[in-house]
Amino acid sequence: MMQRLPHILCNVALRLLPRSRRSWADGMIAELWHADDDRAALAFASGCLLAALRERVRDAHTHSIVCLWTIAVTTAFYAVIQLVCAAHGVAVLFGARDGMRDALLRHGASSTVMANYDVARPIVVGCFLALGAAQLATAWFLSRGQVRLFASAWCIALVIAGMAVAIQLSIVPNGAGVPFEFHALLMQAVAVPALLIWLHRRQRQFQEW
Amino acid sequence: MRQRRPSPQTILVLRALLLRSGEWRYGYDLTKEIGLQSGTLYPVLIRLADKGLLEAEWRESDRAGAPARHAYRLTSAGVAFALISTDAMPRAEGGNKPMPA
Repeated sequence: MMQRLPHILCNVALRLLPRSRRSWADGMIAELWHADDDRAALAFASGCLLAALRERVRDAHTHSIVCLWTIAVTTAFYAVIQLVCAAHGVAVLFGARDGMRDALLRHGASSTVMANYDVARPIVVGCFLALGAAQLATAWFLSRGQVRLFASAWCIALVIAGMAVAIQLSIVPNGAGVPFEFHALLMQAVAVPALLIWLHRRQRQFQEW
Repeated sequence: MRQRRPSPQTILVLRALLLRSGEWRYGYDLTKEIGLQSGTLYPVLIRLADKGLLEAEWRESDRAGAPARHAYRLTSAGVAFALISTDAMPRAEGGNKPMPA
């Protein structure tokens, strides 16, 4: 086992290293044949594993994958929230209690406002559904690195979120608090492109270095 | 971009490679010679190779049945860089001692 362990460690290092660095790992494995004894080979192999880990952490491609996945998971999280809201909206359309409607009545909303609210409700629920689906698609395309499809889904999500906010503001312009979609809109419009631009610049800096 | 100052570990590696700059050197031998762990040595070698300061080549092992070894030596740019860097940095205590050619 003592003789096999250094080879096992170096093979782990081989798998850990980025593809472009594989020849270095082969070099490390070859060096094990020249170690003075088993202990020296083990120490050498442990160091090689550490070196491989450092290289993996430094690897620009690994960084970009991690960042893309982080953005994708965050977007998917928002999508799930939108879809939960949509599911709640569908339940309301089928007779469940509507908390927003109750709040409007409590705040003394006029009959015109309530009529507009009732008319717009199915459209807003549809917006929630479409926004959730578009954001899920955005996350999916981003995780697969399909930039054009991601950009298309992102634009669609942005338009839907804008529509949802506009509809809500047109019904209750002075409603308590900002509509929830506003945050989704803000994330879609600012955070995601900002993160992607930052990621792109970072990658370029890595390449220049 | 601004050139970063080499780390003390890089200086040690450069010194060792500069001592016999024409010869091909091996990873395990360098760890013994410099006293650096392989976990520190290899990232330094990789960085030097990325910058075109180090060249690598596969060479036949002198041990029967052993696979070819990955050998390293400084390029001409690497030698120039090593001369500047090692001159600028005071010699580390107990560090790399001159080896017989």
